[in-house]
Amino acid sequence: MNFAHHLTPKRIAAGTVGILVVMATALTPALASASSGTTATTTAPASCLSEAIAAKTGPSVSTLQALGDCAVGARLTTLANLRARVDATSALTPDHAAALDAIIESSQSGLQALKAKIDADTTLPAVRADVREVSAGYRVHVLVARQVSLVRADDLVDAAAARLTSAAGEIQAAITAGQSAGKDESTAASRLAAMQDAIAAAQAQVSGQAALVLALTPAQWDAGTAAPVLNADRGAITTARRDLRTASSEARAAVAALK
Amino acid sequence: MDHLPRHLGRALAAGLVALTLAACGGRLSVPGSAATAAPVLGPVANAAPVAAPAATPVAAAADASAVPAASAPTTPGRTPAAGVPSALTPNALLRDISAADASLQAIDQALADDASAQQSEGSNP
Repeated sequence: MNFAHHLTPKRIAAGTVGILVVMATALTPALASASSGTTATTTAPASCLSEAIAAKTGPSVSTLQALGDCAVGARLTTLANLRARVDATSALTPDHAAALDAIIESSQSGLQALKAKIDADTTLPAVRADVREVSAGYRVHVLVARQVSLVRADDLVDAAAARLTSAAGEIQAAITAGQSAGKDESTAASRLAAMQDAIAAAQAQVSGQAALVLALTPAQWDAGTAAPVLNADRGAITTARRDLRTASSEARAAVAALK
Repeated sequence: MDHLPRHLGRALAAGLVALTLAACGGRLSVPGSAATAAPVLGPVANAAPVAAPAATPVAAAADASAVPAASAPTTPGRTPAAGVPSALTPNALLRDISAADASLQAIDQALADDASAQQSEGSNP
């Protein structure tokens, strides 16, 4: 077969362009996420501002349905992103990851059912009540998102503490070896003790916090009892983070002080 | 011109290999996989509260706990590097401290996400 006969410059150019287009299409998501650092798992929904304005200026079943659908879509996207964060955080304990997944999945299925209900509504009072339920019934942004962030942080504190505890073991072994060789390792030992105190303080701060946060419900948010729990955990994590930084600093100082 | 078919064949084959690799790369980039650890930890592309811009890329931080644990401090038979205290394994120690620091970065990111969620109170609950 004489390929050269069929491969005119025009056909070659067309084929090459076709291949490049297909390759660019396949690579674009990866390139986009790599360059921007943003998730490519879902498409961001447009803001619901225009739907809200339409529902406000011309309230009708259809404008409220459009607003409800947009609001549900935004929350489903948020939930998908939260799920991705849970999946990407290996520091989460299996129990905590499962609990967060359950919260997310329950919210997703509930919102999908609510969207179907909104779409089937035929009266203004009914659709208005259902649209209100999109936020009030799930509290995706003010509760679920915070549950995910804070429980992740709680477990990350424990993960960091575990690594520093391992480091402390290494340092202790070095101190013991130095002392056995007749060296004065008192400075390193003092630094190590400060490191261990800081690790223990960090662990104590977040102990039991994740369970409290995971147990919160949208109803508790509406009753005003959830926010204090969330804020208390945030405060504990902030303090624990400071303790861990101290521990990390003391670890380096202890190593530097070894004879 | 006689060589054109062979050259074009090679070029097309190379293109197909690249295309296959690109396609494989796309399939690997599923949520939750190690390949997408970086993207999912970046800012969420959403107007929702969790869309707050990430202060720093913390891809490595999220998986800090996935770093293999350091060997036990009393592991026998280790040979300390020259110039370092005996019984100290610098690589293991540095790996632990680095992993802890990475977790601290991830904590910062989680707290930033929480702050964004807090800001939605009253505006986009």
